Amino acid sequence: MNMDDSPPEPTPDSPPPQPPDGWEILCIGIMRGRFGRRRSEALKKAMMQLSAEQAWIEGRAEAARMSWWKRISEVFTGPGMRLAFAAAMVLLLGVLMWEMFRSPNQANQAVVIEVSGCRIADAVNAHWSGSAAKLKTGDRLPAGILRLDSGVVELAFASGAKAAVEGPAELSLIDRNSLELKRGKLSAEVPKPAIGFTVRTPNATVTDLGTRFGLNTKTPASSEVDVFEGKVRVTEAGDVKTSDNEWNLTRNMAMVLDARGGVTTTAAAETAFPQPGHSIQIRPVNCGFDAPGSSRIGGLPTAFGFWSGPAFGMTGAVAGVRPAQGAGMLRFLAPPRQGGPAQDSVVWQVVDFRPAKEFMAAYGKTDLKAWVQFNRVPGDAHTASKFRLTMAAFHGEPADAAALWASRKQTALAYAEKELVADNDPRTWERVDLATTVSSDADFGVVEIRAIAPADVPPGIDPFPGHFADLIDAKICLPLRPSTLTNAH
Amino acid sequence: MSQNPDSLYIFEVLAKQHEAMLLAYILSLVSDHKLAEDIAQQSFLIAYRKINSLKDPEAFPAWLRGIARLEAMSAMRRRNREFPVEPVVLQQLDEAYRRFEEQRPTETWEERFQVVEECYARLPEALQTVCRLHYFEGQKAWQIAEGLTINLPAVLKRLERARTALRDCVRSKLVSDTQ
Repeated sequence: MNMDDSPPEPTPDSPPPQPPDGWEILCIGIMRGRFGRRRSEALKKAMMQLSAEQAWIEGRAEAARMSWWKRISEVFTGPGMRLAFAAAMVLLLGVLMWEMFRSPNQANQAVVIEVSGCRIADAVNAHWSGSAAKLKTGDRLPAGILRLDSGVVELAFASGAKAAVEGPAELSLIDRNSLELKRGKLSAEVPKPAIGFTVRTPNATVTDLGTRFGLNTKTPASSEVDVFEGKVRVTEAGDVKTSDNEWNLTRNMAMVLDARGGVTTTAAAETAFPQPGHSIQIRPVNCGFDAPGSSRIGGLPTAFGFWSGPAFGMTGAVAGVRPAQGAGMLRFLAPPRQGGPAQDSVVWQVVDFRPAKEFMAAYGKTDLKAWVQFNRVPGDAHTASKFRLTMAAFHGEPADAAALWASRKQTALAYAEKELVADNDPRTWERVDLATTVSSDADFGVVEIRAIAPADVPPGIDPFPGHFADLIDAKICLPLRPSTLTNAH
Repeated sequence: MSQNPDSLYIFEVLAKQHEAMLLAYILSLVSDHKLAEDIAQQSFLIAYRKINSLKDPEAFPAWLRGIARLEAMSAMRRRNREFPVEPVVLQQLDEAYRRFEEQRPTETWEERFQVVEECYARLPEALQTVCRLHYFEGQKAWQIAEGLTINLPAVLKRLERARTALRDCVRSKLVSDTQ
């Protein structure tokens, strides 16, 4: 290869330049892509278009439910108007008859589609009854009056507002940003986009102006509103609004509204109301093992943001195992044997907890949850069948992670581990969940995933012929919880 | 894939890994960056819609390049311009990309492409200059000749020498990986 500094100039009898070959245009393309150009937006734009198309398709599915109207309108706008009019009338009559004679359940279901702007995000010991008896976490809230006999549920509104409702309660959804609470206790958290979130009680309407508040409808004639943060407007039920029946409440104010009118007082403690759950993700980097770049072969990391271990790799589908999600998964490999027994295959990441510090400090003790999925190929007695997930939280700097981890039983502020004996079906991924509590002193966490080598593996036998992990994640959370005080007022 | 509610997310994760490769591939075929971006965007759209026809997920990058090649050809046709790359050169280009994937299976495309950058950095300055002006800043060979006050054949020869040196350097680095 000639790379000297003075290229010879062509002579009159030099051969004409050759057009570039495949390798040459490869180099040209790569360099064109990297030379001072801004980052490609092609994928971003394509994904935006695909998302919009998906939304349009979903919108069409909704619209298809109204196809009877479309059929009629098409007939009206098409040629042959008179004949079409007659046909349309027959069709319309048929539709009306169908609407009249179909069962009430079907009618309810049609309404659900229109107003299901709220779903049950979480539930603790919740017992619904009547038409709501089968409701469970994840379900859309149907229309109609719903009875929650006991327990507590968290409702997530399409607007972004969330509310915790404690039984015994009766409620009904009005729309994507409002609710009727005929009876029971509720607390709501309303982010800016959902300002205007409204809860109606039999004797009042509470309109949120960006805040956290609690509401207790004790009887149809008595409601209590407690404002913990921000501002709400309380309007007494009735046709005419005057300055006498509308009040603005701000932080730490409360109002009891009953037959005597509205009486303001000091807000009760938040624990007098059910509290929605909160969580903050502390997801390891490359949690889906889809980017081979963020990993190192070595010991426990002393910095954030990459996977490290003595023997592992990132892979796509291999040995009959497909990633649980995305293009990649982690493959455990056998560390070199140094004369002794077969070693476990271990991978670690140090996770930064500092973004969650404020959250942890605000709530004191919080839950630390982590989960991962494992899979393996079939094997014999010398093939590893056990996996383990471990999570520990420490105070200090990530540079000290290895030393703190080595004495984790003494130094960890939180520690949890869980083992799984995996089946030998490579088609199924099995999930391991663990949870512990952690205080705001924690600065970082170490997450360890381990494939455990069986005892007595003969030399020359690989105990990890196909052992994998995928979709690891962690969060710090405060769960949905019921009230612990009776109201002060 | 389009039936699965998570399919968009899954596709995005997969496509992101090959975005840099796709753009570089298209820029081997067309020099206009804006056109290359349009072709890449269209290729991603087509790939998502046809992903069910891809039987072997490992073949995704080659399959994506195939879509981009056809899109580039039809983009040129729509502009009444001749496609500038001969079929045999296209074959060599695909072969070169396959070689990258085979020799460096665990690296990202960004990491693989560093080989080319290293080779470019080793070119003599005179060759780097004509390369930069012609391929990356889009100047015509005669404009470069005027700017550098050298004759046109000299510019063309320097371009050829730069390309050859780059090619040989990249190939030798890939070959040395196998030894």
